[in-house]
Amino acid sequence: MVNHMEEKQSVKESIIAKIKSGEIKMHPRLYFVLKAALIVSVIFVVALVALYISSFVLFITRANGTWFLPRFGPPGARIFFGSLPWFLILATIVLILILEFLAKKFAIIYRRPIVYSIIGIVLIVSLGVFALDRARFHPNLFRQARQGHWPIMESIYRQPGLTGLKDAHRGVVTELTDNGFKLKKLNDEILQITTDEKTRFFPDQNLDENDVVVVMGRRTDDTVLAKAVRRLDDEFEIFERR
Amino acid sequence: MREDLIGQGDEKIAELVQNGQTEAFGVLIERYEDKIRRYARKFLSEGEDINDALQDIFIKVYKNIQSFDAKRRFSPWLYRIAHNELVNVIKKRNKNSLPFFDLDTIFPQYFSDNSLKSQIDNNDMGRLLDQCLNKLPPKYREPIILYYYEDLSYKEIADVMEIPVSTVGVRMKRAKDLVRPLCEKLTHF
Repeated sequence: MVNHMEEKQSVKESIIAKIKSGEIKMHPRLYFVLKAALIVSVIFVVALVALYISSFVLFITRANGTWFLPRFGPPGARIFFGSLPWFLILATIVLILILEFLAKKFAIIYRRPIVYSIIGIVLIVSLGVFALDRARFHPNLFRQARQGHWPIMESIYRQPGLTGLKDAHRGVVTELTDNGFKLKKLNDEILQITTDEKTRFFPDQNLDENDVVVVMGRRTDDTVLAKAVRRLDDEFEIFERR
Repeated sequence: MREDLIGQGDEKIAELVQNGQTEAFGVLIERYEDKIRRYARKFLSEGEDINDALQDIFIKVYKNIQSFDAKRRFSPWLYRIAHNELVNVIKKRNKNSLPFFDLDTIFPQYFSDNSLKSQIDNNDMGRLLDQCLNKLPPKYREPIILYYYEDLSYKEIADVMEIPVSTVGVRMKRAKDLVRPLCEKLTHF
């Protein structure tokens, strides 16, 4: 009993002594305000980066034709999964987990099951992606980068992922030839697309110059033997026509 | 000074500390030292220096007292600091023994809002817990301690442990299910 009383005294007295000597100081209120502001700012920045990357994934897959591959049936779906920018998708998932970790500092988040906050974050990012898509954010940046307005952006919007797929090629028909057509891609590269009786056309075979198409077929040098060709709307208006 | 504070609530005293009345902090230590010591004992073994943990907890409380909102209850805020500090001690002792995410915090779970207190006689439960609490896994032990010994609500326990309120309910239910057979085993020997 005496020991316990002494212990009590020692803990209390030692702490009060440390406070009085200035060894322990309380953090000012501003410290906590700044800390909260820092967390909110980091959440905001991470959310913006997640939004940028995920909307870029959508843009890149539509610009290079990957997005449209499932419409070619099971073979197209297989190539679709093989052609997705997995590194960027993984980066988005990691950023969402970081957002969840940061948001868990707030009672409104940790009082609810993790699955709810993850769904909430994914929904918010998806809405942002939808808004950026409607605002043609990436196509505008892409055009400006091509015109040399954004030297830093140029490297992003000229990366091989936008144009360098082996099995899917999106571009504009520049010339109809005897055994197919010439296709100009986003990087101004011209491919000779060869079609034969096995090539499937969607919705029909009536291709014209300036049509935007996606072609499924393995590239060999500058030639592609087309397994399937689909005419598309140039919804981004990013392809330069003659 | 101390006599003036005897009838004051914890929140009022914390407010005084926030305004620079250092002596008032001594009253808070006196009020909570035994409770926090008991709380810490449920996690740390006898050999470990509980006094060191206690000192660290109260030092942290003092350093962070300006982040306390005096409109809310003081004790859940204090237990939250104690919880974090004890988790750090356990982490240092057994590296990687605590998972980053606990499975029962991921998905929504349903629990009966009837508290354990209404289902089982308080005294009976208290006696059982005294005998068997240490046999319970830590994740079930902590909500039980906070609920029965420290009188915190499910919502306050959720704040202390930073887990969903529904998870608190589920862990309480599982703890209750575990306590009875554990105690029966103990009383047979």
